Amino acid sequence: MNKKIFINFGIIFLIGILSINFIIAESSYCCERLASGQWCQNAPQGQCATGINPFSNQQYTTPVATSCQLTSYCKLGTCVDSKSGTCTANTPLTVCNNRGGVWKAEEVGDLPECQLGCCLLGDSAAFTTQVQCKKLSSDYGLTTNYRADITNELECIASITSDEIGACVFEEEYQTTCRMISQKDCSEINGGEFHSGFLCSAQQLATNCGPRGGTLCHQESVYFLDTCGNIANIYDFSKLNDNNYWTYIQEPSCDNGMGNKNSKTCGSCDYFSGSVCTIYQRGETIKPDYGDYFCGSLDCKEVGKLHGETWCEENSITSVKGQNLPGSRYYRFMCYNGEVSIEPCSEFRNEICIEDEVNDFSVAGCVLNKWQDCVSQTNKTECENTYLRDCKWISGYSVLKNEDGENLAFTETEDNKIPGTCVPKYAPGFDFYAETGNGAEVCSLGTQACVVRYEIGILASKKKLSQKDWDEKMGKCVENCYCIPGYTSGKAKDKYENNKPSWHPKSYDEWVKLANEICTAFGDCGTKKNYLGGSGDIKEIFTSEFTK
Amino acid sequence: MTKKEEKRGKLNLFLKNFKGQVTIFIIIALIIVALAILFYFLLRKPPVGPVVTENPAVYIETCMKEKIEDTVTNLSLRGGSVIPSNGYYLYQNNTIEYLCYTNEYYAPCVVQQPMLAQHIQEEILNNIEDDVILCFNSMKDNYEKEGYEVIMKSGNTSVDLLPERIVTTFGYEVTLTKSSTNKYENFQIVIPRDTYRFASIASSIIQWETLYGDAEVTTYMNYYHDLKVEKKKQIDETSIYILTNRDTGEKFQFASRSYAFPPGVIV
Repeated sequence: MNKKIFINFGIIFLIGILSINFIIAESSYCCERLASGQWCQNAPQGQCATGINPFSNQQYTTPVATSCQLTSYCKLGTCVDSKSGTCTANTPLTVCNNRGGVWKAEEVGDLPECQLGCCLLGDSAAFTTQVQCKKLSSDYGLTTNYRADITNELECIASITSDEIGACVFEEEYQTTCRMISQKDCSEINGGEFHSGFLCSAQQLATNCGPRGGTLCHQESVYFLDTCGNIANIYDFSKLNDNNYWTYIQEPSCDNGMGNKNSKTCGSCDYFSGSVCTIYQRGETIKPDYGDYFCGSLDCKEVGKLHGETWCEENSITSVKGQNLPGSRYYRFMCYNGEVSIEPCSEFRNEICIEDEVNDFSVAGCVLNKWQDCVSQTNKTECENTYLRDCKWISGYSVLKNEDGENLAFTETEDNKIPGTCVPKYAPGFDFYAETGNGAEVCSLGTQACVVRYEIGILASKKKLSQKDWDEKMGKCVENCYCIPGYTSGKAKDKYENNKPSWHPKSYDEWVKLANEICTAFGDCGTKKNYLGGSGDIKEIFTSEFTK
Repeated sequence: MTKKEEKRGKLNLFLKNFKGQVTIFIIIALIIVALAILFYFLLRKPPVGPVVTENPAVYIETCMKEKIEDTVTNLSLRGGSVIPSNGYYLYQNNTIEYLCYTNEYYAPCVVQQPMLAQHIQEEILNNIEDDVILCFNSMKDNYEKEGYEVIMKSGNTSVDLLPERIVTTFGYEVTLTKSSTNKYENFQIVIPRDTYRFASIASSIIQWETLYGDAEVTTYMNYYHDLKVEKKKQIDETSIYILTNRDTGEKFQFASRSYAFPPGVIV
């Protein structure tokens, strides 16, 4: 007997040891590098790379059974590249060192060398670090002009000041000619005279440059050219023969404030309004009244959308759109530069697309479908808190029950507690074919058990009752009678009909409908079609009876 | 006119006509031969490979330009590496490297390539260095065959990603002597490419990915009007970003996986 106990204990101990080893083998390790190449990932030890790190020529660090953030080699910090001046957040130490960067434990915002300022580059600007600014200026062949006092990007863009352009008159090959350049550039021309505010076609400058030399695209708008090829004012057909318009630099007066799309007469284009300077193509575009350029529209005419608009679409066929069926997926469509591009939201409806209109302008985005904690909500208010989750409340049945089968989720009214279930507003998808996730378990939450109580005479037989058909049983029912197939209001015992709660379903069909509504709301569960309108395997809902 | 005279007349006429016809035929034949020679010279394929010219820089450019361009095109479609080594996602037959990655759910990605521009420069350099040696040696041989005395000193090759161009500089010194002596040094090839801007934008997107798990593509398109930025979410929550220059068609693609959510897991 002692020997038997000892052997049993030994077997149990052995199983225990093996189990522990098994558990350890599946534990997470911090791998300096995975066998598949990625650096600093938490993974089972078997996935860690072995061998020599090609950057350090040393063995990869032995994996440690802890999170990478707690190791020295994979701790995340800021990687500073002193050559280019870039600072990259969330970079592991080993990755930064491998690339020749300097790793710092502090966050980007706390490092002085990573502070951003305004780098002025001629007639443009960039919001960068000081070292980045020096490199950029050198790359563009400019003197470094860095403003550390400008600490936001909008202010930086607003601070751009181009050198003033004017008419630079000078002698060339025994002719008085002219170029539209800056005063600084003009001073470098031998004998150059700068005339601020004037165009080269100004008569009083007496140059060989005259008006009406055609049009050209310049800074995304259409500009007049003079006969010397210099840029003049913005194209305005009504000013073609206006001497004043060919003399002084001035703003256009033809701008309609909406980008002058497809205008034959005005070249004041605006990208954000949906137009840009476009060349005329015979038979394909409109012909401007003068020259070869006009403000071409960037709108997506084929789909009736303006440039910059984004909107939501779904891949389901029209008849089942919006039902979040298995296989359906949300997409964000974008119209930019006359072209429609598509951005799919996450698969399995982990993201949904939401759309709104601002001044008739459609704006859409893929957002997270926050359904994961719906089912654990116990009241309608918390359930429908849109800041925290994307759920809806279905009244009439609670999937949350305690050990005694009592409902745990309610809507409280003045005189009643109506059970309900908080379900996802946008039914998520499950990867049921690859068997990952808990799809099956989630769907099983929708399985409903309903306890029906019958009342029979003291001498009546339970067995006989169980052999009767549904209609006969119905007449004996005193509790939850709506669960009996074929039940409609009034068919059960008076004891039930006169006292049943108002929220009880009026019929068996109503109960089945409610049950299916709850079940299908959990995700790819229950009787539903797929996104192409095809039916699933479950053709009907049936009720099984278990008697006790 | 007698029959004989008539016949002789006809014969004379025939002979005159015959000579004229022959002349015409000869002229036509000459034209055909001339056209044939012309077509031959117009349609024949140019000689394969660089041609020895007076300036060795032209030779080197002809020899190396295509290799550099092909390297840039290839690595641009693969996330900045000729052969991705930091893990990759297979998208439309391209192995696209992860610039930021996590294998976990609910976690931000870990930056895999913090200095992308520098990395691209190194990748180009590594991929062309063998060809550099071959090209310079081939140039030397060709000049020697042309009767030049060639003194060649090898030097370092460098690649610089600059705005709107990639500049490859070969630190070689070549001295050619024939009737006179000419020295050539610091050979340079400049190819127009948008890679500098692509690398900068990719780095910016990666910063958003690692901090927030997502990047808004319309922000970049609003700032760079000639750029198309696309994000394609894959089944395992990997995002493939595709940057395209609308004017030139140049593309840069890379992968990221950050703050992934598993399907069908409740809290």
